[in-house]
Amino acid sequence: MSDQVRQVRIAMRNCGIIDPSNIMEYIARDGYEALGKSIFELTPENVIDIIKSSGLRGRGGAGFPTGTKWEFTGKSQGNKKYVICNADEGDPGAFMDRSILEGDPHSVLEAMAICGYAIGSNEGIIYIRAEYPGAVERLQEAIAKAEELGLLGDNIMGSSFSFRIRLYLGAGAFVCGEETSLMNSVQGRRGEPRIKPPFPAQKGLWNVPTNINNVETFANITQIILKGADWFRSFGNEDSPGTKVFALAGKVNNVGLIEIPMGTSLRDVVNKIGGGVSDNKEFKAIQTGGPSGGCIPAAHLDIPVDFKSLRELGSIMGSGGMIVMDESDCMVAVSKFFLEFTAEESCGKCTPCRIGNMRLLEILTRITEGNGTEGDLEELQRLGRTICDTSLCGLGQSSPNPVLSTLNHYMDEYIAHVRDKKCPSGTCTNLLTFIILDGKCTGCTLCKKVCPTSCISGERKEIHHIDQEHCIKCGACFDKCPFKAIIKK
Amino acid sequence: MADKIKSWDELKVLRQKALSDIVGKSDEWVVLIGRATCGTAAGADQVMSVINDSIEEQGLDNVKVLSTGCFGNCYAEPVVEVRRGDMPLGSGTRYGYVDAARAQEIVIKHLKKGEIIEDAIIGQDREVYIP
Repeated sequence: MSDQVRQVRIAMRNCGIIDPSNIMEYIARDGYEALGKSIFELTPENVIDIIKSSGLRGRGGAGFPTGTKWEFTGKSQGNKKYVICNADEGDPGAFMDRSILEGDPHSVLEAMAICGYAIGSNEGIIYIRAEYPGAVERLQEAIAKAEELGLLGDNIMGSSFSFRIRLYLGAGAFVCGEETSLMNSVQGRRGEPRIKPPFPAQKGLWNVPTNINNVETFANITQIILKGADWFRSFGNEDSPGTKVFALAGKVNNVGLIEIPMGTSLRDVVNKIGGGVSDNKEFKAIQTGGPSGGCIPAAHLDIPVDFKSLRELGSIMGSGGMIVMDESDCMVAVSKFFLEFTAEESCGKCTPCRIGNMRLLEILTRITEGNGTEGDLEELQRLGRTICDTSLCGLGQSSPNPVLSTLNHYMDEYIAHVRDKKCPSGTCTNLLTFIILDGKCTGCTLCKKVCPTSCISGERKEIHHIDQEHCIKCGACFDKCPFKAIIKK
Repeated sequence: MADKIKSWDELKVLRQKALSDIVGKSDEWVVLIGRATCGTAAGADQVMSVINDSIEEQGLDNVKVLSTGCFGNCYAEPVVEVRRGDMPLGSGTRYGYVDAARAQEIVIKHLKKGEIIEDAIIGQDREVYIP
């Protein structure tokens, strides 16, 4: 059984099992027992020790040891402290946090209360993106029901510990997933990062000690308190104990959410759990970490999925997005896609990110349109490294990652684009040539009629011909032809 | 409106009650429909209405229809799980790609006659362990 590759559900233990609107089902499955144990049996220091010993690392992307963060916030002076749950989940295609909030909202509420007890806080805020109305509804319902039963609010379970939680909705900015921008947003300011140090544990929301953790990080807490640090360490590996939820997407058969022990190989994730590459195509790359991450080629499929291994290969764990790519995906177009996102989402506060990302995007756009040069590739490297080293926050520090990682592993594709003006995967339309096949053309004139530059010539019932000099590669003729007589190469 | 829990022991007592409330009878059924955003986007709301209407048409009075979150089998949404009343949470038969026709079939075959629809089952190739 231990050789078997299987999912292990800790953060998602109740998802798909309980009715999230029914607090009794949550209670039946040991709900609020960990909070009871913490308040009535453990001291705040005990709780922090257990979380530290478990080795739990933040699941939002940075992987900072959670117990250590709680300890720092706990030791900070002050009688007003905040617990914040980062439910902004801005990575495109990531929905791990949404599923936990929609499927098991109480696990996050209980964990936030345990954190409050451990660090000395009575107030929790869940910063949740407004694009998650379903999760917002589930959370509001859950908070109301927990307060009704005395499991949240004043004097929890008759004790002297009180903890209230409220929601704060985001307004659509990716940068507000970064903790200091998030706090600025809660304070009613524009979502822009603050310089660190001081860290939120010392000076956070409204300048008081604040502990911010991601949804999935919180979702692991109750089980660690109930079953112990050693139990948690029995999953995963030394670098990354426990499990991780991934949103597996792209060219894979079983797209969806999976929760696996850290250390499972990428190959097993794609083939055994993911059901293999779809349409029996050839695996080309797996993109991890969303817009802050990188692409990992087939040669490295046997690496264990953990914080260290992914970073060593130029990617990151990130919040858990994993996109499988096949031979029809162009790696240059992929890095342009992510950069379009991060350039748009840059808050503009610091020059490297604000201007640097725009320049990177311009170069990539030129390359995909067939106007790139080999000098551009060196510039991408130099500029990318500079942006990473000098940006104020995590958004800028990691936005060049998709470019740098694909330059590293797929240089031949970039060279084909800039030197040969060809896109090997057939994706970059500008580098394709549209040709009408003699053998299949019936002279129906449909393509001629849709061509926006009128560059197709030929009379009715005669073989038509595309004038390559005036063709703008829009693909309208390709889409229109009912006889599949037009090919692109 | 329930009473507030005033001690850790009271929580434990409530838990026992919750556990026994969940366990039903062997001639009862619990139908769980995945109605997180993913399921809803795929049509789970319609599946729920079809199932409820069908249950009424068939005159069944031993079925509880509930919503749940994301099963994780997003590739097969809408997903419906059917569990016998006396079996534990999470132990049901999971059906995928459930459309209106399949939803009716589940009511008529599985709920009314106790017949499992083999070719509609999903997830058998992936083991999920909850420690």
